[in-house]
Amino acid sequence: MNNGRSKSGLFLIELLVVITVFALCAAFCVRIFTSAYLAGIKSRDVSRALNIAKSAAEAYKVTGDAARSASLAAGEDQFTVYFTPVEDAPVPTCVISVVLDEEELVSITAASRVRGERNG
Amino acid sequence: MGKEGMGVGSASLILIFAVLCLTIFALISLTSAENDKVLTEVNAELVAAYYEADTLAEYILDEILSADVIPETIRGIDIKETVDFFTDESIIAFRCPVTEEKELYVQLSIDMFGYAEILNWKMQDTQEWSDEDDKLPVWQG
Repeated sequence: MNNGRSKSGLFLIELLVVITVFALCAAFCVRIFTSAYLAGIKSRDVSRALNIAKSAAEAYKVTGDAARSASLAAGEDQFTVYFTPVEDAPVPTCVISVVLDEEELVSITAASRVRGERNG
Repeated sequence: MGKEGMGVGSASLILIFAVLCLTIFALISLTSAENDKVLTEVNAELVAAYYEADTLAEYILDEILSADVIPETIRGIDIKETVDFFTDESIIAFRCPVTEEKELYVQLSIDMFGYAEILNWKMQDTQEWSDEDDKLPVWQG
């Protein structure tokens, strides 16, 4: 009888320790899973921003007009595309930045192929 | 002795198993997500580098089109010019570096009237493909 009681007590104590250790480990693993999730989100956002930037750059190369390029390369609502003209460039050039939540994700420089008339 | 149910130590065994599984899955998940993030960033850098090279190529193209005599070097890039004797067209080619392994190859022709046509505008590797790499066995048929 005493032996049974001591074994039950030991088992109970062991169970308590097991639950405590499991809770600590689970908290640590949840943190790791959260980091992985955030890394996945960042990767997805950069990918989407890159696609928008490429569309904007190709539109600017063809049109040479930032406003038209912005409408042609209309991306998803949460992204904002900024066209910053480059001063003193031999051809129309601008820096295209894609921003999400005030963080610049992608920035590329594009030069337009639109030029004035040239005489042979 | 026969009807004691779960013995002392069984909970610890289950704990060890659960902790191992959780930790391994968490680490695999994190590693995979980090690798994906690195790949995306490398891709973004490559795209930005390509458009830098493209911009440089546009500047060089503009100088070529506005020059009476095409110089041998424009903005640090060597310009190669050859003349097609049959059509009397100038074929001009130059390469703008994108990364250490890639370059933007531009080739254009200018006829006697000064009108230019772009023949090539493509990204290509700077190094030749090596078929002597035999680290992995490949089935030859």
